[in-house]
Amino acid sequence: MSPLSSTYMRYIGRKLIPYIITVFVAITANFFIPRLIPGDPITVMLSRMSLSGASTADGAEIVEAYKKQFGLDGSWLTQYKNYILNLFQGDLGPSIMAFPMTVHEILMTAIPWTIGLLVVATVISWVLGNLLGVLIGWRRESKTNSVILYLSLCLNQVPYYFIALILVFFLAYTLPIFPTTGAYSVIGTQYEGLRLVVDIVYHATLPALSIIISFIGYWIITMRSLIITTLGEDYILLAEAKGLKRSVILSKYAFRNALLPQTAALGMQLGFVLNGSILLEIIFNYPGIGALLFLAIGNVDYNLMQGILLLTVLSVLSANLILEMVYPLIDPRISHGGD
Amino acid sequence: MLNVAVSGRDVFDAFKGTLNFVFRRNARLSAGFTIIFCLLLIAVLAPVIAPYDASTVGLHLLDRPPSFEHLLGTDTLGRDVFDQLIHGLRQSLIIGIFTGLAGLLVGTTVGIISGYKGGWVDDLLKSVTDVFLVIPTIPLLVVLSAFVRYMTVPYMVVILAIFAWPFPARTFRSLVLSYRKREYINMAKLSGLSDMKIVFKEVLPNMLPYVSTTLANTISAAIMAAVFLELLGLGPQNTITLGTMVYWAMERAALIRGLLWWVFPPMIVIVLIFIGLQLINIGLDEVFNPRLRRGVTA
Amino acid sequence: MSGSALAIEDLKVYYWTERGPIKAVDGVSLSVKKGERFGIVGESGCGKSTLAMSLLRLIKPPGTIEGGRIGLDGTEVLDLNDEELRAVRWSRISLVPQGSMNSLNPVVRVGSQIADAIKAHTASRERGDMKEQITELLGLVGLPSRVYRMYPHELSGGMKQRVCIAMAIVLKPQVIIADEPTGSLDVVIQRVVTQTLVKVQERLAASLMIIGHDMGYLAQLVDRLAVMYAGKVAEVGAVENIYNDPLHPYTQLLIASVPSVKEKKKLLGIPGLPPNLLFPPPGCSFHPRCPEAMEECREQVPELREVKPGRFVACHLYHADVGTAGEGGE
Repeated sequence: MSPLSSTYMRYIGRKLIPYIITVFVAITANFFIPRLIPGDPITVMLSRMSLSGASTADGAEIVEAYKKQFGLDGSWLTQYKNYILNLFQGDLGPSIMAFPMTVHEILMTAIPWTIGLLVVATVISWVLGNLLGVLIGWRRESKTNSVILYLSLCLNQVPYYFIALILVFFLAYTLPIFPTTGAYSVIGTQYEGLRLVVDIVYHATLPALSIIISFIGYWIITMRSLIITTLGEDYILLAEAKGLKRSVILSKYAFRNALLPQTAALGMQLGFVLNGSILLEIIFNYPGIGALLFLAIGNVDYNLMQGILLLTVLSVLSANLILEMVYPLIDPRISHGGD
Repeated sequence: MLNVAVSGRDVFDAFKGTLNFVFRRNARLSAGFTIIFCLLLIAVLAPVIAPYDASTVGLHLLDRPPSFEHLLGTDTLGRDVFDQLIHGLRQSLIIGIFTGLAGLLVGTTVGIISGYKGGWVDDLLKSVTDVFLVIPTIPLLVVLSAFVRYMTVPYMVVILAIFAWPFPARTFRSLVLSYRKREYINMAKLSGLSDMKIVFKEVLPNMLPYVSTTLANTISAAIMAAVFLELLGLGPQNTITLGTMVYWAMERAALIRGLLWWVFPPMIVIVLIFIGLQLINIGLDEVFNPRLRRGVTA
Repeated sequence: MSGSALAIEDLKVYYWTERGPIKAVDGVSLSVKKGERFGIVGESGCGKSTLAMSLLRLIKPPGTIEGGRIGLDGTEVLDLNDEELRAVRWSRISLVPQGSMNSLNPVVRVGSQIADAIKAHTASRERGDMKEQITELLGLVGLPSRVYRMYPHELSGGMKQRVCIAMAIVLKPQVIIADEPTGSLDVVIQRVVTQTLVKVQERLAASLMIIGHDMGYLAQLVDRLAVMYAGKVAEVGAVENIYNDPLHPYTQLLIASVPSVKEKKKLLGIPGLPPNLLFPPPGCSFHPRCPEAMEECREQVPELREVKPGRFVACHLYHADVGTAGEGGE
């Protein structure tokens, strides 16, 4: 089916409806969950202000004024209604803890760091993992193969934050090769052009390495078993009978088939990128979404939390949706309908 | 419903058969079981073999490296690290196992009902499962845990279990769907067996291998999530677990101060648990799926 | 045997298990003349597919070719090194796989897969217009030219088999091996595929070795026939001779079990079970099921001997120098 055919359109339609429903459920959940957290933003803000010396003499009035400003007056129902209305206008509201910045602005400063670091690291680990997996799976018996396999199995079980801690200890502390924290050096904000890029990459190396090392095992293992299964197929036997070169059999006949499920898996993984890097960003003091969420919880910043949760849910759903729309186009078994 | 008359002899034979299965069939299976068994043993015997009292602060000299009296040294609060390790192992395993069992029980029930009944029941349950699967668990876990003012082990199990059941549900739903299409289910239906009987006699026995793998996976994921929360400081505040050990160590800058005996042992034990469970899974997979056994092509 | 397209001598292929070797092919000797259609018939598990695979040296561990010679128009296949083997495969001997096999790469277009065979054996300047050649070939097997751009799953079973046939002849080999080419196809399509196979074989004047389990099917198709049992050849000869005058008791039972449309016959089978290839019966492997078994059948393995011109049999009944031969039986 070509992208314009009616079958494809119907296929998309069938897939979209559940997504729309899920998004709606997610949006609603996003509203309620932050409000379950004990404490409320105004109190937190006021206590912070009094710590820095401001007086809170006209207590009640100030609280009312702030409540109005942040839309926290009125019943939850009213707040919910406003929330939805604003959402559809693309307005995520002001951030309570970082007022006068809006949630949107704050997110925009954090998203590029998370995406840049994690997408790049995930793709690198996918590419390297696939290559190694093919190498191991292609020739079954060998000492090196077993070593790599067992190493991958063990590595797969070590959470990325442990690897991060170990890396920090050995490569940033014991041997001060890399910096321990930050996305860029303190004076880095003055850098420009190439120097800035180098500085950013330098700071991103350890976090990226943590991700790469901790996930490469998974790709190696899955690609290996995919290649082994694929190599057992009949069409590989016939390819050998045809006298094709080993390199052609490996690339055009085996790899191409094994790559399909791996690409789907990569798509899924990328969808979760905006999700689970909280610990990584905390360990490395990286200004991404994860660290932001942690701050938001600490400050009970409803709007910011809502915004981040919404963002993560949407990114997973979108990645899913994109994957389901794109995959039929690359797998000829689906894009060209069967007999 | 199940008419099973069991004698003592039968139980003994079953036990021997299981041991045989576990330790003779497959190298990875036995390795995994050995690891997990040893860890479980230590955990169960923790109150007995712990040399000191793990929770009391200031009992010993601070920051002492490993020695004969303190096998793994002491931490900055004057507690024996080895003590903490075995008690922490016990608590972490408790969290993992209870969450795993809860998730498995709820998940398989939902999955089997959903797959077997079909129709609107299936549609409803499947949508619920899908929603849970798609929602990003980590941020929600963090938020939910922050919601609980005073986190204890039972609370943790409940919160983790909320996210633990969808995956088994989906797995078992597809399993039931694939079995439903097979002939012998239709034959059983034709012969007039009630639904429940069919499920127990025909469907479940075929799914037992999947039950064990799913359980291992769920326990592994539960401990992973628990450690994650604990590292953020959202773990149980009154008990020592493996994750909270690492958290407190990091809070006291143990890594930088060179108190490696405090930081690394809990990390190593956590990884051991994962490796053990994973080996069991791989071993079970190889036993039930002979094509994966090394050296033999299909 | 010079002059024959394919000369197999005492071929042994064993599958090694923990309990010992499974002797799938145990001393098979056959020869196929140039341009002839040669059939191999036998029950499931008699070793005929293993035989086919071994001719192209496609046996995978734990199977190994233990001994024997495979002469392909003078070239000893078992002596070839990897590069020579690769060159010989498909260009001089090719394979039409079993009808039920998943033999075509699902993610590559049909035309491209056939082109791969050409590319692997000819230098680029000698290839010419591959698309034209392949489309012509597809036409030869009765497929429209648009099949060139299609993916395998878009084709029906019969179409896929014909693609395999076209692919098998693209390099004009001298020997084509067809392993149950019509298995799992319905009768109507079977006929089409078979006719296509015969047509291309005659076009190329190549030798065709067809492997099957359906005596009736093969009888209509081949010039000469070999009957295999338990990894060995039981009988070889011109197909009319075998059909009208089967010598080996196994062949007799096989023919008797073919249902007839013309006459009313009791449906016969062959008593007993197929032999265990791991621990085969001593002497002649067929003796436990043979209605004419004698003393020596339990002790000595009968050799394949030419008892009449062009008729070979491996049975003690026809070996005049063995004890009480000629008197044996009913």
